[in-house]
Amino acid sequence: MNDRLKALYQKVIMKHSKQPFHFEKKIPCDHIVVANNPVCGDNYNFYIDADTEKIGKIYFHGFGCAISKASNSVLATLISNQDWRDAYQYCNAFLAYLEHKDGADQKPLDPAFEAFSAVHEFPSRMDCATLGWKEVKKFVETHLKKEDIRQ
Amino acid sequence: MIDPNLIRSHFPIFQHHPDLVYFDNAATTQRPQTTIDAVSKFYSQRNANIHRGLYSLSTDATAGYESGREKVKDFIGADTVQSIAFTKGTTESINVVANSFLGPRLQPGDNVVISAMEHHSNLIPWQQICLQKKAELRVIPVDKSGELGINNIGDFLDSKTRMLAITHISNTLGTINPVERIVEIAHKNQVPVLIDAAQSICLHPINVDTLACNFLVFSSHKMFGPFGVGVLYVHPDHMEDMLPYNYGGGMVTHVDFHKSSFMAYPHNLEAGTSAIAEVFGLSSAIDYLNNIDRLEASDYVHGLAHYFKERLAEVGTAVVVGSPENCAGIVSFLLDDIHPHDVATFLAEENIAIRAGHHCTQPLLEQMGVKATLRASFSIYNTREEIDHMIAVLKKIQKFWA
Ligand SMILES: Cc1ncc(COP(=O)(O)O)c(C=O)c1O
Repeated sequence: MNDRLKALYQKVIMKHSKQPFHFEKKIPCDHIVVANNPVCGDNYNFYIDADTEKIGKIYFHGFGCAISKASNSVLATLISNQDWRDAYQYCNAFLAYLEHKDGADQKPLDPAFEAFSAVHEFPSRMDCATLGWKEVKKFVETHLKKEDIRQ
Repeated sequence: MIDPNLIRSHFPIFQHHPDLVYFDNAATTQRPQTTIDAVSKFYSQRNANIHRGLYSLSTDATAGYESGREKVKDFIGADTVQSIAFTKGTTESINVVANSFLGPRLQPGDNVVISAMEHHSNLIPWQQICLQKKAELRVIPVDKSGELGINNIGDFLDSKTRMLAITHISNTLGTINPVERIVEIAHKNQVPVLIDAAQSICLHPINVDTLACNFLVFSSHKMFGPFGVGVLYVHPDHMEDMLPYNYGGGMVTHVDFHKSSFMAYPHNLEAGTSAIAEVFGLSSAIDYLNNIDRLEASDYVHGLAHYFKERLAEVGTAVVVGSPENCAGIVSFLLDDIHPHDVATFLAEENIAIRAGHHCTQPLLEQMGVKATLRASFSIYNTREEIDHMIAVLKKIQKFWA
């Protein structure tokens, strides 16, 4: 295997994809967030408990490649039990880190992001790594907007 | 004899990418230099809009475009050149038949029959017109091997069936459907048949006269021709029934502010400026195909698929999805439980281009009990050595994943 592939399929990613965190259809739950890629047929559900203060445990289940599974597994690990604004910040930071928004040598907000640093070299796999994060970000955003209106 | 290395030398992509192993021919084929030259020669030497100018450049472009129609007619053995309309491709051709032919005659309670192995392009246009007209869409199932129960097809047809639309070759499983028998059965029931020849047109000689289908559709880009142009063949019996699809210039006989009258098929379907250079390219691609023995060519390519399946058996628990008896140069498979995208990324790093996903046949894969597959599809420039290379890489991937 060449170095590019070794960088993409790092041990951390392989581990998360083979033993994903909270990989379970956790019903009942407060919210289900769907992450669906019609182009490739990948399909995940996030099962999220949450109250007005914070997000509770996040579980996920579905079908997709190693990169998407690992990325969703890291999401479930990092976003579970965060308060809403922190969750939003994490989602933003993860997406910005993968997309090199602040340059290629940007420091990750969380060391767990680093496992995905090579995805940028594989443009066709970007969606795999970001789909779940984008959908959960939208979900968090909607909640925060409602909060803002309420206040 | 097919000499893949000689054929390879006709396709400049392989000079630019000497290591490229191109196994994605079902998505689009590569183009020989002759096709590329025909397009570029049109632009540099003969460029003008057609059907409009009185100057020689335009009349010459018109003549070239119309001789492309003639060439397509001969290529598929149609009786008359009037049967041939140029469209954007298979997808548009099917939409035209669904809307310009079937739509106006489809009544509530009528039905349309397709098979479970159709590409989304030969499913959604029928599904939508059926929804609009409160008609029923009936789907002939596939069995585990990826074949249609040919003996049951008659059971799906009745006096309310207004169309049978079926693919010649499955773009996902490679199944070659017995279209002659299918047309026969349909015609016994007075049902018109549309054959989706997107995957067969390149290497399978088709004669619409003996096949006796009512409609035949295909795309230039899957037969060594340019993107952006395709063909709709309509049997002479139905030419008068083809209503305009797009309205605009070039398809009218008279226009005033409150009404218009239209040219006859096929010109009533070619509104606006056509893909003229692409028709010149398609014409040249047909010349290329006429210069090879297509029976030998399809044998060669089927042989590659067969060889690939044999070698795949060496790769531990790899499985082929579908095992039709009559199979073209298309193989869907899975490597253990490794997701197809991951496998395709590894292969891509070794310059092996194959496709991973649902191949625009989501309902078919659901029936086969899988979500996505890897698909290798072969053409006449592919070799057994390339397959050996892919097998070696698949073994490496398996080891890495273990
Ligand atoms: C069997 C079949 N039908 C229809 C199509 C659609 O062709 P196009 O995208 O050229 O319109 C394809 C293309 O993949 C196909 O394989």
